[in-house]
Amino acid sequence: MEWPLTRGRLLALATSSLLQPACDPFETGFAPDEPAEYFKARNVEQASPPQTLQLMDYNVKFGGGRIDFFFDCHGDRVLMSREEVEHNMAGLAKKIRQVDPDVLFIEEVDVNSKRAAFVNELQYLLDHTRLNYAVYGSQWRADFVPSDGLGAVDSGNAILAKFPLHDAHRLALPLRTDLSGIERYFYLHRNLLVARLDDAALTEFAPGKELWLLGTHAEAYAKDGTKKRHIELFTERMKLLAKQGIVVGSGDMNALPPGTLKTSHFDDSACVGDYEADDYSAEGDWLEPLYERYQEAIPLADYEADNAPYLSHTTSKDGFWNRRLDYIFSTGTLTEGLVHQDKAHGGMETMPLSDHAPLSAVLSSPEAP
Amino acid sequence: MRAWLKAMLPVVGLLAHSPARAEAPSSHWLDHSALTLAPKRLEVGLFSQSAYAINDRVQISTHPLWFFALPQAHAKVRWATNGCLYFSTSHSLEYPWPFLRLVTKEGTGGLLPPTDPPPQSLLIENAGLLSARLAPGHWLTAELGFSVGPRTKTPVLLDFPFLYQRFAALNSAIVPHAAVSANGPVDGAFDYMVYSRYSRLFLPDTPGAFAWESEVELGWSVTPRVRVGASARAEVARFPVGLRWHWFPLADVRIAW
Repeated sequence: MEWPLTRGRLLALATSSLLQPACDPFETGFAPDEPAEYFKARNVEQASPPQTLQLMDYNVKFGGGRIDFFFDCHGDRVLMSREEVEHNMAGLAKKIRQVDPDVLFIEEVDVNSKRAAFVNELQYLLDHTRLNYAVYGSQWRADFVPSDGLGAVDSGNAILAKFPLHDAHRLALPLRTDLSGIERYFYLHRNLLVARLDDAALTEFAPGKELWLLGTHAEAYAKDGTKKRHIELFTERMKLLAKQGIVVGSGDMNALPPGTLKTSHFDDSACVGDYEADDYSAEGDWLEPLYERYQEAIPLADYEADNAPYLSHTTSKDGFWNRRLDYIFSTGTLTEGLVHQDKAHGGMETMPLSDHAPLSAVLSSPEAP
Repeated sequence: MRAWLKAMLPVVGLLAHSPARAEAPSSHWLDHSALTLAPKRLEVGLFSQSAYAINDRVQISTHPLWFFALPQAHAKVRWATNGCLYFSTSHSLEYPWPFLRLVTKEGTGGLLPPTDPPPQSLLIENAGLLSARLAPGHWLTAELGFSVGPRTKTPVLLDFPFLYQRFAALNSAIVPHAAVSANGPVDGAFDYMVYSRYSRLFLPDTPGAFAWESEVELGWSVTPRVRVGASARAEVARFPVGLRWHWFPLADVRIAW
């Protein structure tokens, strides 16, 4: 419908553009549903349609490697130099090239943050791996965070692929309610990131079907049920997308699988208060609806038989992976699930690269044998 | 610097030798102009600088509210006038360490990371101002100047809106600026002030960094000695994070003796 710019509408437009910075002076807010940002590699490397899809999920800790930051409570660092960020990103890109995924879900990637020396880490990964296209949903954006010297932040989750991505949306998740208004204004605004993989990627794998990708990074520190709500909304979105085609839902759920033996008092916990995330004992069944309905990269029976090979997170660079937070769920068939813990499990040391180990799996079409 | 002075000399010469040179009328409530206050006049502002005229040529000022966080002294010296044109220079010296120390902290209010204590430093700004009378009471002023920030080491950039351009000299060799302003009466006890200043910031990691800050103020002289002002201050700046704009409203009360 035409919407002519009458004088009144021009005035309204000018007024709203003037008032917007006054209502949201540091631009931290998001619409409930908004288009995701698209990125493309500097040099696109043509890929052939695969028979199966290699999937990978990686929380890359904003290229912070194993620097001890203040929020980990193992150190006091706030900002990194460009050299540090690029060194850490080179390690992450090397690991990603080694796995060579067709689709990569990443969490905590900074595209324009002072703490990461304003390096666009998503573009870096596109330019240094065989992945060509990406969509991005910011989960923490502010022109300036007036706390701890953080300054400008734009950090979020992304989906990268060798083939183009379409129909990408950032769906806002509920905010924490256990923070003051001013803290909530500057705190993380988490999201569900949805995109559809280009049909050209499916000509061998699932011709005539649609493949939908769903990424997230659920709340970590809330004590008000926000994390549970985020997982529920992720599950509901999986169900909705499953009506349209094959779905892969992946991310850092900040929750442990059912059947986890150790759920609290982890030996790497150093935080008390705001950044404490050490007790999952009341969350044992939060992921059950996902496990009941979908396949996961690591079959639950395998995990329950032995938790250790599948643990994917620790805040301490001096320890070893001690809890599992990262997942790949799908309506398709997932095989060859692997948590890349170290050289023995994945062919390369991952402990120095991030506070999460990457997870990979191979996706076959639901009808595939 | 020498070239800049050389460029200004003809203007000074013109003014100093103008046949129309006379006792200059001094300004009231006139910010950002080459005019100085009437001798011995003191103007105290709540949120703006407070100024005192030592004589008809020299005016000193400071910011009482900010002084203990950001010790500072400013002086404006009128060098020449012919009654219609005024040429002055302004000079300011600030000691930013207490303020930077205040905002270098953990938690809320930490604008700079506590891992990098601020260095000892000074902020020095010098500018030349040329004011022209366009009509009775209406003044147009052009300003050219620069800031430097001698320091013991370069601190983390303070890229907070509006503070960015004020402290950028601590992160670069020099911050040149150009500004224009206009002041004058509107009607009866009301007056206006429009000010716009462009600063070029030579920051090593932010090519093309600049800040363009503008203010529009409407003043009301409640009595000849009390003025209330309402203004809007806006900036467009290229920060390390990108091009951004911000604005905020401001109110001020000034009293003169």
